[in-house]
Amino acid sequence: MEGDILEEGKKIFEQLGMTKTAERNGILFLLSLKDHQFAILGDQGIHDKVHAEFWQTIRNELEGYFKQGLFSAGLVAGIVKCGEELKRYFPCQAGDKNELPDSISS
Amino acid sequence: MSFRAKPAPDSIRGGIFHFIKRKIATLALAMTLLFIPLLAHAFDIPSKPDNYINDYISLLDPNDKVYLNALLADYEIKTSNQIFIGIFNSLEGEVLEDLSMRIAEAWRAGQLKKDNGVLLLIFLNDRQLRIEVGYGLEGVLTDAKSKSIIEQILVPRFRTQQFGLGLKEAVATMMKTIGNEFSNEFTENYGQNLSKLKKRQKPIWVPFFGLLLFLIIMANSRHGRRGITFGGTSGSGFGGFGGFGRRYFRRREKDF
Repeated sequence: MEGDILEEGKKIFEQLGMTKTAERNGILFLLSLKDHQFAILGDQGIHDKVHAEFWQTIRNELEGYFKQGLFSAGLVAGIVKCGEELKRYFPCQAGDKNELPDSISS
Repeated sequence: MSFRAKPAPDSIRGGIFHFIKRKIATLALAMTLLFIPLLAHAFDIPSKPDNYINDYISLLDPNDKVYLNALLADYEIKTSNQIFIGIFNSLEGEVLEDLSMRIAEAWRAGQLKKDNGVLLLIFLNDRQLRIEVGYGLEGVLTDAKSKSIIEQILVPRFRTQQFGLGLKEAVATMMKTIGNEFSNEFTENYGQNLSKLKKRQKPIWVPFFGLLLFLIIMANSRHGRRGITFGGTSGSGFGGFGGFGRRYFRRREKDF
């Protein structure tokens, strides 16, 4: 990976077509094992609603796990936390569908 | 020969009755012997599980279950130690020590040569808990430590129905107590170890009520175009580990 992981993350976010959600509420967790770096990126729709501390909180939590080499546990904890927060702003609506895959690419 | 149609003299009749009685006694004994194993093994032990958390009664919140499985998978990748958790309805009338030992033998937590497994068993309706520790780990996760995990963490949490929280705290404490036992350099080999582990594990994932999440673990870079407005954050600097190891099953139990 070259350069800043956040910048890299933005590119990947677009490449994956993650901006193509109706409410612009996709979230990307990016983890580079080789570089010992990670990033969490939320689309515009989410960023408009949550505070900057939200990302910091998740970041700090993940960092705690990753430093111990607990990668899957950290990701699960981070995703669950994001999920809890986002439920408040984006409750499940009638006719909602899963717009993006909930998958892991590597 | 019919002894009814033509009654035999008393002496012979007595002999016949004696013979029949003996037959019945033998039969009864044979039947008893036949059923002893069935009676003693009323509990049907599930075969060696694919997951670390084996909640046969859906006691745990699905998020806690996924989290704990992920945590314990990471832990195995990192240390090769295996912590299995079994949650059952009841002992089915069996004796705790005997049953937990049989489950331990059937599931064989830990690596064969290292004997570095831990088994935490919960029999909810009987309010029985037990921790079995492989010989490889009992030097660090001693009886005293196991006892305190049960008494200080699990029992109070379980009494207030906080099963997920209790298990998370108990697992964290076990991991901390075991420390670097059997740990190895893991970061560089994480992907490799993970795929090894994946082969014998069923994938698990949580449904997220229409939330959109995407996750990437990347080994190398790709390149793309300009960015857009995002919120986000990044962090870095996670490090390695070092260590090595030592022999099977010890226990600790407690009602809750």
